[in-house]
Amino acid sequence: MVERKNEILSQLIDGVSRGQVTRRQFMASALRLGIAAPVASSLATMARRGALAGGAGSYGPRAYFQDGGKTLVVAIAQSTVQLDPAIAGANGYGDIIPITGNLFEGLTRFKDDSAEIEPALAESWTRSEDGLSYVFKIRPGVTFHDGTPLDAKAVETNFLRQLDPNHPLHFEGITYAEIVFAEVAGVEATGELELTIRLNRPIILVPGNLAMFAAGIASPTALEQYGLDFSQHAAGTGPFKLESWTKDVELVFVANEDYWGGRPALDRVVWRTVAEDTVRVSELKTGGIDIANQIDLKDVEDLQNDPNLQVITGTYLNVQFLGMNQTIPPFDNPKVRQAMQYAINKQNIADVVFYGNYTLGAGPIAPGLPGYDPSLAEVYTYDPERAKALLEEAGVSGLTFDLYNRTTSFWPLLGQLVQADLAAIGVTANLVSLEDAQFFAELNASRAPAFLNDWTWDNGDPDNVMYSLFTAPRAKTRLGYENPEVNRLNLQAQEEPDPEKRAEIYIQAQRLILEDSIKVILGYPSKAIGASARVQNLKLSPTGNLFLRNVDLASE
Amino acid sequence: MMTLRAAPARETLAQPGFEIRPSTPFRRRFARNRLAVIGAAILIALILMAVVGPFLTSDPTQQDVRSRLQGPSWSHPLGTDELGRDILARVVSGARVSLTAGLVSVMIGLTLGTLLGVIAGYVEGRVGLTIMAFVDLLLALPAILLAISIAARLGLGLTSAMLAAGFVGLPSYARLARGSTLSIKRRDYIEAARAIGMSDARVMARHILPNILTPLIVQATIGVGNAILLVSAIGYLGLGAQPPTPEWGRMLSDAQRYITDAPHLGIFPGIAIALTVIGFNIAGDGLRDALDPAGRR
Repeated sequence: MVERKNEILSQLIDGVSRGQVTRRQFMASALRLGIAAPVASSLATMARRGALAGGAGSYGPRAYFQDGGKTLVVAIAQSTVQLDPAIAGANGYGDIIPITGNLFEGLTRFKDDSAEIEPALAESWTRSEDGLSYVFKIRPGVTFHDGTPLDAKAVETNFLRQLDPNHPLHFEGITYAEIVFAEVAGVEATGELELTIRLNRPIILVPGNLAMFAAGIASPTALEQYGLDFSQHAAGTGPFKLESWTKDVELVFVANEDYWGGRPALDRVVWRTVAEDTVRVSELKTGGIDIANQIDLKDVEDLQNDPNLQVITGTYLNVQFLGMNQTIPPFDNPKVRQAMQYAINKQNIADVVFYGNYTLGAGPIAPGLPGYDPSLAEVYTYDPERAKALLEEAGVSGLTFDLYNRTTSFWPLLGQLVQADLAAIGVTANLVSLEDAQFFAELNASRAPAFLNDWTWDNGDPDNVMYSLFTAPRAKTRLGYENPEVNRLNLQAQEEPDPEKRAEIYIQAQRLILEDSIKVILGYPSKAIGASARVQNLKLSPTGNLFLRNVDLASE
Repeated sequence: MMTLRAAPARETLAQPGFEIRPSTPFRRRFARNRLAVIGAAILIALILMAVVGPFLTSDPTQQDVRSRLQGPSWSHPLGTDELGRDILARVVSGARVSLTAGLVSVMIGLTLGTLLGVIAGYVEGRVGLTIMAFVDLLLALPAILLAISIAARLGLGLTSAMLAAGFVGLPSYARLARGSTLSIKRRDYIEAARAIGMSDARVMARHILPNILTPLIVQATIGVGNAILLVSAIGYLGLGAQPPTPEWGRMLSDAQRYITDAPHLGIFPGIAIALTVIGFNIAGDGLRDALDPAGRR
């Protein structure tokens, strides 16, 4: 029925454009058709629901490859604008995080289901007595996808191009070096297969930092040969090789036959960009894709009930917060900032936005990491009366401010819940909803008095939030924040090898941050991946990667 | 046959060579066009809804998360949205937002466009050409791009959306006004007015403007529909009215997330937009037919 209607409609449109149908005739016919439209679409929805249970997987993208290989089709939300692991794309690094670990590897890597570090391109490493240098033993016999052999010199080139802005391979957009190579004083190939990293301070974060996407090692030959055109010829050492890439649309990987960890079970991986959450889910249901990365948590139950599908969940290192810039009134007043803490109903966010798949906010460190302390949730509880009283003490009334928000996914919904909570204590928050690029530009220019945002751990270490958000220059630009004691603790924790002592330090620092009340920690969402029941061994990586090295596809 | 040519102070744009017969009054001609009457009925209903509706429905921003995503029922005739807000209340308040936006943006386009068009037609020469070059330049800008750049300058919100929609409509009024001005400026009564020493500004205001108004009003009626559609599109992109303002385009984009579990979230604002645009279009068409001297039988 829908098809027939579309046919009539397209005939009509053709008629108008050829001049056979006048606009008036078009309007009249379209009107008749229009009355039928809402009825038709609800019928279609119902029909699709009924039909789906039986018909999934009957047709799909496997048709494009007739060679009988195992092809996995993955839909990701982000568009891929480039493939160089060291470069931030239009969407920050969000656009390469899910895919990059399959093409490139670092000296170390994360296990596929936790933030635990394991050896990758380095077989082993040692830390010097004084903690000021690390020596990495490079894995022998590894070659890049373009045939270039991996040696210490290749790794050195990759690191130096990020560290040295004058390096011939230092391209625009390499901005993550301050995190990946924090406190690194020098990098040197001290042997054919030995790399030495010297540090300014004895920080213990090096192996974790080198597992981050931005520390992925690319073939120096390909970088030199293709320069800024590297993405079209990307060559790493990962379990998959690049076959073809249509910018923003589709990316095809094939199995790396010579992978040092053994050839992956899949023959081919097709990555497609499907920005809409709903479209990813419906494509999964109709069998158009095998994996829908990052599904809307409201759809979890629905997918779980489908025998042809599975939902993969697990620890996801992400924290959501309301940030306040304490250099911009009214947030220069600590009482106003504290009022925000009591005003927001976090349970409501958990229920309405995340359908319960949410841990309510405590401190900035998420569950699953050393330093996460659920008791920090008691520092501020939901208490609108107390919030009102604090505002009264602060001597403000009729408070109005701009609350910057993102336009994608669940953010508009979350924003409106926060807005309603604030309205309940007499505060008017005007939502300013911006596209990601513009949103971060405003934040970094210190123009947002308050904002809703999140942070995903890139290196699986509390430091990635504690230092990056509360001590690094970012704390000053986004929050106008500088607390010498917090800075001291964060730096101390970077050097503390004992995990328990480290956790203690972080709990102490979190208490101070909560006292300063520059962020309302809303909570930690879960993440879910939807997949066809045929997909095997797929794990949820807490750092947002989608590792396919162990994934297999059962035959139909 | 002899051509009668009257020279009234108010002259509809009669084609030269057309024979004037005793004509049926405007109202009867309009009423005879069934489609136009439907259009007018939709518009009257819409205006009533925008004026009195919000007093009859509940608060469109009142959240009740315990009863969210409910289908139509007695307490919520069109159901509730993702935050438990009453969809009927939101669609009804949205009528006010959309109608205001449509009318204001058409007023912007009509006023500026007519002003520029009349001047360009009356003065001609270099001034006229420069004005029309500017108008053509506006015509070349895609509507959404214009909206994005205006929003970037003035910030997000309904004002930016209305300005953008106004500027998008401007060229059509300017061209129409210029064309009509060109076609009547050599008429005797205009020459006469100038001969008795009337200033150019006065000639334009008193003699040209009243005589070219009819086609502009018809164009504006259809234009309101288009402006509402554009404002909704801008809202859909998140550049227009900011939440929690109930704006149809925005409601539609927020509903997208629930398209499979709660399609009613999108259906009702969608119907509202469609009906409004259709209403303005067919009413505008009917108006044109009824006012068109060529159509008088």
